[in-house]
Order: sequence, then C-alpha cells, then structure tokens
Amino acid sequence: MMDENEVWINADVALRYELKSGDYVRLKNQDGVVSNRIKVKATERIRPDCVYMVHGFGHNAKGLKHPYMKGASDAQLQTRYVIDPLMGGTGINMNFVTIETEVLHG
Amino acid sequence: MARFGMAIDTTKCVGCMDCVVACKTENNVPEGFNRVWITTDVQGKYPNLHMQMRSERCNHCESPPCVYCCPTGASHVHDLGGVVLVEDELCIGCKACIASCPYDARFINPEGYADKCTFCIHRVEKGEEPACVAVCPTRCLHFGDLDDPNSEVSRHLNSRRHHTLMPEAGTKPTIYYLT
Repeated sequence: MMDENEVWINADVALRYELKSGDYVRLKNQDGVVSNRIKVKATERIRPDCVYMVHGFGHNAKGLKHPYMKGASDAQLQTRYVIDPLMGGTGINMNFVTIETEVLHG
Repeated sequence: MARFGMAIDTTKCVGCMDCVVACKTENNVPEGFNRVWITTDVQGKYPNLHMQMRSERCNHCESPPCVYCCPTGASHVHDLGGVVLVEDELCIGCKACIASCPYDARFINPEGYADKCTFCIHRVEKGEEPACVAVCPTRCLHFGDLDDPNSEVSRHLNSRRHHTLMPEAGTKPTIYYLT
C-alpha cells in the first residue's frame, strides 16, 4: 500500500542532522555498503540510537516491478549475520549504519 | 426519526486496515482513493508517547457544509438516518464540497462526481451492517441509531468517554471516538 519505504529517524536526531521529513538520505553500514536514497520520516516514535525502515523495498531486480528502485533495502545493509545450524534462522542484529546526508551539487 | 452514527473504540483499534480494504472491495473505490482511512495520532516526546489509532471516514454531519455549498443539490441528506449522500448524476464535479469539508472526507471519482463514505446505505437498507463494521477483527466499530437510547451506539456513548473530530468546525459529526 505504499510507493516507497521511509527511514524513521528520531526527531531530535533529525534536527541535529538538519533533516526533516521528506528529505532523502542514504545509509552506510559498517562494511561500507551504501543504500539507495530513502525518504526521511522524522518521528518521536523511535529511539535516538535506531533507525527503522519497512522491509521489501529498494530492489534492483526489474521483475519486482513495484519496489524496483523505490526506497532502500534493509537486507542489502545486513552484511553481517550468523546462521542457526539447526533451522537456518539468522541473527542480523550486528549491523550498524550511519546517515549519509545528500551533498548539494554546487 | 432515526439518526445513524458510529461509536468507534480507539482502545481496541490496532490499525489493521481491514475496514479500509473491506470498503474498497464493497464499494469499488477506485485505486488511489479511499473512503475510509486510518489516522495514527501521536502526541508527546520520546519516550513519553501517547498514540490513538482512528478509523476515519465521512462524519455524516448533522450540519453538513458539503450539502450547504452544493450548487446542484447533488449533495443531500437522505431520508433514512440523516445519511449524507451524493446523487452522482446531478454532480458537476465543481469541487465546492471538497473544499468545504473540514475532514477531507471527499474525493472526485475518476468518473467525474464527488465520492465518499455512504454508511453502506445499500447494505443498511437490507438490515446489514456497513462493510467496515462487519469485518473489523477487534469489533471496535459500532453503527446504529443515535436517536434510540437502547441502541448499541447510544449505550456506548452513555457509558464511555468520547470525542468527535474538530468540534470547533460546528459541523456536528455523528461519528464518536470512544477513549
């Protein structure tokens, strides 16, 4: 039901980064992987040390017409993970990102 | 004289949007438009937050500005229950009603007429509940006769705290949110 996903950033953090809802940023993880552009949602509904995005967007497979090149992919940023040897479940909570604000072209 | 209205329990709404989808299905609402929508109203500063989820739609106001401003009479109050409806064949798509509604409840259907929630009058006339009420998984949507003191809606309004949206607009909505 949405065209693109948004990255939820705590309102005070957004203010510090001079970001407001509707601005676009990229996320960069601990291994240097940089995401697609994603729209900012500045909100009180998230902790200052976390960001959130809806899963399933930012795909680069043309066949996935709806999310193709729309929003960003959380999966792309999860480059560190461990796999449970019995049932294959993944632990992905050791991936960290920084917010990369867009540089305005001069 | 019956006056239809709703009592919506915000303590039970989980924002699942079943009401939104049921309405779209029942009423063939065109893609990109909604007669029913969910509003997530968040107040406060992290971590002291309060959130109210509301299933919103046309408030079928007792003092409907959309009816007063309609140049053709397409927008009118139905005989049964005071439901506010649009006679699509009389509508010229002038958008006066769109501008007049403080709740942004109306939209222009791509076929050219003003469109909005009808309280599923086509179902109510047959003794059925509106589609949104029928599918709500938490049963938080209540529809009925506000003029009947024994109706479910009246009993909710007499026993629970409630509020309407934008009472300062003077429209006298018939949709009440229980808190």
